[in-house]
Amino acid sequence: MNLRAIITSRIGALFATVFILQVSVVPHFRLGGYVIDLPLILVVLVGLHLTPQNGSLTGFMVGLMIDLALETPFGMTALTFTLIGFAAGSAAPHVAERNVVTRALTVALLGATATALFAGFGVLIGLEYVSRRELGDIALVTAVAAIPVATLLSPIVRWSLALRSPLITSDR
Amino acid sequence: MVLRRSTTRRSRSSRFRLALLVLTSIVLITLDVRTEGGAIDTARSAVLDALGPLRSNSTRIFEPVGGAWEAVTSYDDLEAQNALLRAKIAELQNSVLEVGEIERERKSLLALLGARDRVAQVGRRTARVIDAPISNYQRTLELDKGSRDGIAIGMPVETGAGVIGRISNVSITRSQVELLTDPNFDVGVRMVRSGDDGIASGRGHNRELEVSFIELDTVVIPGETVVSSGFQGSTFPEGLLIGTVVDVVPNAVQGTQRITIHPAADLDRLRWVQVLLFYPDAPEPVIVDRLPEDEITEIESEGSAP
Repeated sequence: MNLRAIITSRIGALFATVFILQVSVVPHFRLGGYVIDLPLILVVLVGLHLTPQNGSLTGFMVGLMIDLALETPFGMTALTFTLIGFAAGSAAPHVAERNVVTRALTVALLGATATALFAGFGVLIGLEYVSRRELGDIALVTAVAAIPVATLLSPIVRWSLALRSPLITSDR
Repeated sequence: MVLRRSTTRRSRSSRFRLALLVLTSIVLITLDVRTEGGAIDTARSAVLDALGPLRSNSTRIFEPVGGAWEAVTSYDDLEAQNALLRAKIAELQNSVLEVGEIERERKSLLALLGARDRVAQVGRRTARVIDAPISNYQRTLELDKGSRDGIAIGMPVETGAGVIGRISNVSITRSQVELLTDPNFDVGVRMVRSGDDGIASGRGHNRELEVSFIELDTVVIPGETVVSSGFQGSTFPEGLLIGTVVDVVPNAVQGTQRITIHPAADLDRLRWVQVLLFYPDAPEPVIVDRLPEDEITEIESEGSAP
């Protein structure tokens, strides 16, 4: 098995595990009444080690998987995760090899942005899922949760991507 | 120079791929919003079935732990909610007698009119709520009963207090409920005092419903009860309790009133609900203003007389 296949299977397994946790365990441990979006945090965290191209592709694939389990229009999570994966990939050269705190803060910022993006797309197609106050709360919860989650998941992500050397700049 | 060209090409390529993925997502969203019962719904039903046992078991395991976690993280909210519930109980105790009186009056009126109390005859299926939304934007509830229990899309769902929503998706073993506060939710309603009909629409989580198409000259007062109107073809039978009026704002330009109603049922922390096995197309005539049997016989005998 070559390195590319190993990385793909590790990343696939990581996202599958997070997906199972998201549908089974995470909803029972809400923060301030809101659900922590683990797949979103992971998409950003992985995206921070990829190129924008691969970041967006990863976001799209994971988004489709999540969309299957949700009642919101199919493709909305994929659209949000695609854009946020691209943004994470674009931020990668500046952030990926910085200290854990900088990475975690970037994940928090992008996570909160993704929350607003999703709600914005909803409004565009006439579906106002949350009020402005709730949106602020959700973004805050996502950002706050992203910091410890990103710190904990960071070593696993690095192992999954077989990151011995710094940044992956070539396309996989 | 060569490096810069290569970087520009890669940047263009990544933007092109981003545009392609965005376009694909938009096409998928459009397909899902515009079509019903397609491949996407089938795939979602399959996923709902596949995840069903996992979600049920995890709810059984993690619900008590999650409850303790919630008590720690939302202690202030719970305290406030407790006080609110105590006040509500006191309020409800006062209105129980009143409701009993209204119910007796309603039954006697129905008997007088010869109309059949259709709601009471509708079969019900009790289902457990898997109260674990995967996303903060998911305003649906998941139930542990599906099509093999007779549940179908569109069926009303209620608690003892009133309607909470309708079935929006169903698989063999699971179903999902679209709450009446959902922005997609619309139902025909009737103002109990005036008998005027309108359409109640959801406006989002934790927000009141809005009733439109009630004319300006209709007298609507806060506290008035609103029930489903059961228009022909509606997936809701007539007379289901939807909520009570909290605000009335006249709109002289449109010649209507904007009425805000508060749902009768508490949509938070639902554990058990009832799905009404109501089939709007079932041949079950509602007879209103039926003449008494002896009068019908009299008319028939008069008609047949030479």
